[in-house]
Amino acid sequence: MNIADIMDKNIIFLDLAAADRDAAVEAMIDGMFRGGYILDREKYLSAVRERESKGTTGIGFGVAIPHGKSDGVRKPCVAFAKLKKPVDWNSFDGKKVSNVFLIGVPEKNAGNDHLKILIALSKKLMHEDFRERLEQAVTADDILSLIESVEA
Amino acid sequence: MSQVRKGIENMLTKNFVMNCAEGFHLRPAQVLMEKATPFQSRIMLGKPGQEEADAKSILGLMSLGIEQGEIVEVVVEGRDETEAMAAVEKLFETNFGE
Repeated sequence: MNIADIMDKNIIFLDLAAADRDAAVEAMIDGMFRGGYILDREKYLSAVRERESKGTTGIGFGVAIPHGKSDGVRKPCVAFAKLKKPVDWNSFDGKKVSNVFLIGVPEKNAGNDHLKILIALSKKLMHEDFRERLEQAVTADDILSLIESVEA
Repeated sequence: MSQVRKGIENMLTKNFVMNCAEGFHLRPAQVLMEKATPFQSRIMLGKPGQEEADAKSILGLMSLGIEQGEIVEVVVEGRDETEAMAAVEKLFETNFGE
């Protein structure tokens, strides 16, 4: 699986204005809903929130990877947002978050897509070079071409 | 310094089975990192014979792609290796609190 296949310009949000973590997640889910990736906005939102309440998804380096498995999700997808202003995410390294990958997977997902996506993203995010390019990315095309190098 | 330390440390290796329902996803990785960080010892994990990752790196742990039922080799080396290995063992026994 290549994550680029389940991303799309429609669900890449640049310069997203959000006051805090919840606002960022909600704004992204709204966009995913408009793009037709989400069937039930509330259901998916509560899955993401519940996951977040069990422990932060702020993995450090200014990046968060919130995720939720829910039948409110139509098909596996990854939305991305670059926040206008970094927000607190209770990250492991204490850094505020400005790059968010939001993973959506249907509840009844035969394969282990959810995990495969996390693994693929982790592999890339481990590399400083990838993180720097992510930080510098300006357009949706920049993001997509960077992501195209993520394979699982 | 390494000469002084030589002799009091060797290296501990143990294999465990990953029983978490979704393998080494973010939660168990986080739990392990938090447990491992206070130890001075170097704690490395991986599928036997394959790439290993530092237990103090969440991304490293997740990138291993360890799934439920798979064997995980743990290598601990350092002054507090016995305590560190015991702590890791406990996490595997308790399914990382799942």
